[in-house]
Amino acid sequence: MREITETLRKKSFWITAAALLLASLALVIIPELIGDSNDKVSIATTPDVPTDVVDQVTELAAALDVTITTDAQSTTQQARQRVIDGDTDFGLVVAADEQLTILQRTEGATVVVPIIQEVTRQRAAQQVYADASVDDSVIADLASIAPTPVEVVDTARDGRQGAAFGLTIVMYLMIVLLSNIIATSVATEKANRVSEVLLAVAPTRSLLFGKVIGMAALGTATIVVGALPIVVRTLVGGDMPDGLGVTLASSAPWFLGGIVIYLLASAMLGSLADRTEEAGSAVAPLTMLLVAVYVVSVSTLETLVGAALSIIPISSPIVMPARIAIGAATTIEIVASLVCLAIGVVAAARLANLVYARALVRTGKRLRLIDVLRTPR
Amino acid sequence: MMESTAVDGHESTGNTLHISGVSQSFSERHVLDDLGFSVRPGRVTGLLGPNGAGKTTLMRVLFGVIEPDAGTISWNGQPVDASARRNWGYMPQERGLYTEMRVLDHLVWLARLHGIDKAVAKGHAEGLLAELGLGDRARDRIRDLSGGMAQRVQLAAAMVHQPEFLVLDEPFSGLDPTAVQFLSRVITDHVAAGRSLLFSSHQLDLVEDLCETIVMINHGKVVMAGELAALRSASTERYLQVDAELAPEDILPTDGDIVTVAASVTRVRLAPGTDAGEVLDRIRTRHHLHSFAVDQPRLSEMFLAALSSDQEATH
Repeated sequence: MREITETLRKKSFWITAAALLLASLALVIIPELIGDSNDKVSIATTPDVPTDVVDQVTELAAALDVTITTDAQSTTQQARQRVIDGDTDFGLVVAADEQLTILQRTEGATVVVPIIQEVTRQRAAQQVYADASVDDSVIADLASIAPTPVEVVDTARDGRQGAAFGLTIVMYLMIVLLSNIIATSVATEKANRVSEVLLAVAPTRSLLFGKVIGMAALGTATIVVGALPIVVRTLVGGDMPDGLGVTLASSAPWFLGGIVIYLLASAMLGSLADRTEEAGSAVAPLTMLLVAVYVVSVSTLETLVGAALSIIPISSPIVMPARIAIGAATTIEIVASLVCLAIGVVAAARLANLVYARALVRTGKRLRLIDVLRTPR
Repeated sequence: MMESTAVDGHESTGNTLHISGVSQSFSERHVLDDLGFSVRPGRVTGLLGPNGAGKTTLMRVLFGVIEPDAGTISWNGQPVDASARRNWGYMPQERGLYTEMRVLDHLVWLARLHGIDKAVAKGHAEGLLAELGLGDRARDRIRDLSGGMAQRVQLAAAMVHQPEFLVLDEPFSGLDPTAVQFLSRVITDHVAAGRSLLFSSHQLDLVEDLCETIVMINHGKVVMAGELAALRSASTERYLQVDAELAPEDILPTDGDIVTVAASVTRVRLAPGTDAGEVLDRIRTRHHLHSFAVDQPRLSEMFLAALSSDQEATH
């Protein structure tokens, strides 16, 4: 309880918690402000652009959830300037060779360009057919041929992927924050000999596990409170990214396991320090490991390396939720990961308790993990 | 295995600690070597010795912070366990406090760790703070207190659960004379209530008026233990103390040795059978004296003598 109270006094904790809540609120509020999730595209046109072209482009785009608004300009030069300035997304003008030309600010793929190209190509084709005296009904039939329909088979993937990414960031921040707090707490207690007073009353495992449980509870509570806006919005049927709730729920075991493993490791490393100031450098290897896992996992999520990382307990809390989110994890991998995570928690608890008990009473200099493991005293 | 030294010549009663054959090594270094003695209630017992003698290690062993390689520790005739230690109080050499906590909160929290009800703990803490002259600083954070005040809070932290046995590691270290006097009173009050107390110190002369029972250790071994008054009486050594800075030629070689010269005070360890009056007369022919005394050995002198005997016995 004392650990929780003292952590709640730390500014860094409140900053992280506030950032989490703000991010969560943003996820809820921004879709409401934006309204429909349709893309909106503006096109600058000039009076010499046939209106039926613009109408057809608008109609086709609407079928793909893209809303077109026209930005009427008097001259081609004005339309060009609007695009250059970023005031409008595209321009559709008649060039010097009397060909319809699309003005785009920079190169890059967009769904609007093929739509305009398709409309203008059909319009040109119709003209060719008419010049060739093809029957009007045939031309009408040709014009009415619908493009090949597209079925999005995993509509929730983007939402889940985004949720997994966000969760990974939150996990990383929370682990780094709580790891530093617990390592500093252990190092301070060792440096000012509070640990000796406590050890006279309680066994080392009670001190260690009490700290870890307190911190883990605080971390979990922070994330639950942070995620509250999302949960409430989902329950009342708000406009949330698909798969967000499922991803959050399925990540819980790895979140808890990861927090516990890293807190145990941090407390263990903190006990190697002789002065409070050494706590940060004591847990630095752990932080670096965490960063390395994150960096490697980002590029290897759907590969064999990603699969391996999702099973190893030290990396699975970061990698497995993301793999589940994008559907890359198999059932066997998930079960194996959970079993390894449970084993990892037990192993970390035993190792941390051993080192903590030995290191806490060795004062006078900073200790090396290997030395503490080698010698009982 | 060394049996517990009968430091007071009395059989143990309640609230008595027995240490027997305790040994402790770190790597190849023997810090405690077959150590044994007893601490009886109602007596101020000093665990004395130079820095590095093993005092702090022994205290850590007492509180189970370190498991000894060998030996036994018993309390009221029973091996010491966690429940016995709940009724003990420990003040480590360093601060041993969470400096960011408020004084009263810290004391209540510590008392509750010892299994005391919150309301009772608060009452104990407030009473103790008033007794220690810190009643008006109860809501202050410990980091905002002066060194002397923090030391009192540290003492209160060790006593807030009203322990039967109080262990203080170097409690006088860094204290001014007023604080030493204050702490000495707290210690004597504690044992006067029939409780047990063991404190350590390397400042032998500072605590010699406080100790009733002493255990002197060096390199983890007991070199002298017992009732201080009895040990002094049993000593054959006598010292002549004069308020002058003596040179070796001021006395005859057969008179004894000049052992201390400090702040215009000299102590001469008189050789066995020497007439102190004759030595004094010789000194007075060379120096004008305002005060002099024939004295029993001081704690530090007894320690050095015991150390010398121990080394002779070893060789």
